[in-house]
Amino acid sequence: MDIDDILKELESDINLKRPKSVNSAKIKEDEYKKLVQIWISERMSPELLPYESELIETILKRLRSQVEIIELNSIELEKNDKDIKLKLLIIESEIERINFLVRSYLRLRLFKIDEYNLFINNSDQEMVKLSKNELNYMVNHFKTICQLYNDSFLKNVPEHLQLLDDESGGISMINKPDLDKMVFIKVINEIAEEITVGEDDKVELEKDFIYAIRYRSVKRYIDSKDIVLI
Amino acid sequence: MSFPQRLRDTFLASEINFLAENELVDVLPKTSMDSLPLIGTNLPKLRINQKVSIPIWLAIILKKQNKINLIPPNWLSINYLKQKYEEELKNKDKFSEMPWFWLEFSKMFLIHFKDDLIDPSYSIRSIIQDLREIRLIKIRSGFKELNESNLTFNNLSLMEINEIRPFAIKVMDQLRKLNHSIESSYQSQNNDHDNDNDNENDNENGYQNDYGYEYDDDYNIDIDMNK
Repeated sequence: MDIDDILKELESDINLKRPKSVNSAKIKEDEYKKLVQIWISERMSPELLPYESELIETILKRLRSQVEIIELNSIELEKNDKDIKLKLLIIESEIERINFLVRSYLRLRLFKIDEYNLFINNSDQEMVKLSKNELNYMVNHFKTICQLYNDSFLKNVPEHLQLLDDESGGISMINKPDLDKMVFIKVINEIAEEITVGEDDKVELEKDFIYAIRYRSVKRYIDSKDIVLI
Repeated sequence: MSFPQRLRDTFLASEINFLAENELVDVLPKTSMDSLPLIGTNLPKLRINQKVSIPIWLAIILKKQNKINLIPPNWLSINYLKQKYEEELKNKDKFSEMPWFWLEFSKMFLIHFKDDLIDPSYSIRSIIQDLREIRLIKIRSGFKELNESNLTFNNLSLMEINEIRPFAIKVMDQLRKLNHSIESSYQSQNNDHDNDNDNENDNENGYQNDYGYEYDDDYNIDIDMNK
């Protein structure tokens, strides 16, 4: 994305500013709520969740145009707007808040990608959860790490001990997310069937109730958004 | 280090506070101001004495500039809170219903909107403190219900859940691992229990099993028993 694109987007945003009113506020609020929820979910789920590229793109785009507004106005304060300083303060505070969310979300994902590097690398199902940048990061990071290990000590140990993803002997070297971890959830929509917990015990999850339960047993409903992580 | 350890198990109190600040409150503008497009919402046009709902973080900024007055929520009054306190005393094994962010809300309102509250802030503060303490005691006594399968935590606020999260999850995960390792020997002895279960399904408190921790018939212990 270069500066021309940013300016173009800014222009189109300014042109659209008038007609958008009540309706767009609602859309923005929903998107913001969604951003907050994906941050909470990513934070509390043991595994990596699919990357919300569309949402993050929209938010980043709006972030950029807000930054532009600040820059434009700090060069030349609009004389006829007496509240401009307060407005800039509000815009700036909001940018800080959104920045925090996005940054925390991305860093959290990087941590999980580092942690479960080999596991994600070995599974197509996991790979599609990554964004393009994250994929790039993972591959390169892994290459660098392998290089480092090789150069510093692996080349000196017997060949059969050089593996980084040895699964023989009953103990796997591959770090996997613990899907049986307990998570706190809130039931949003009616869940028709009983949930299996433990070996073959079943519980009925009631709407609006809060439970601590195994991630694996409710994963399906978290994906379908009938249950949210808290 | 992309994400420090201390952030992984639970939220920081400041992060819960951040979430609470996203919630809407009703305010009365003292001055008028044009609408302002933002990223997560649009600030509506402010007109003098016309009620609007805005996120708390925005209300705090506007209040500092003396642009608005808060309309305090119904629950933030001595009468209401006293009533809740009585409820907590009366129902020993049940939490009374409070807003999802009641601790953060009351703190923010007491700090930033002191002069908008109807009741004196010192007495609100003290009753909030009482409520907080009695609920904490109940939460702690609820810990003995922890099992390896599932638990309900109804009417607890996010902050209260967040405080017990690291401990509760650790205990439940440990119980799960223990249970996993004894499962094979447990299964052979369990055949007798299974037959008894049908008659004991109304036994809410569970019973002590051979392995020394509480075990509930339907694996579903309600702390609040509010079924």
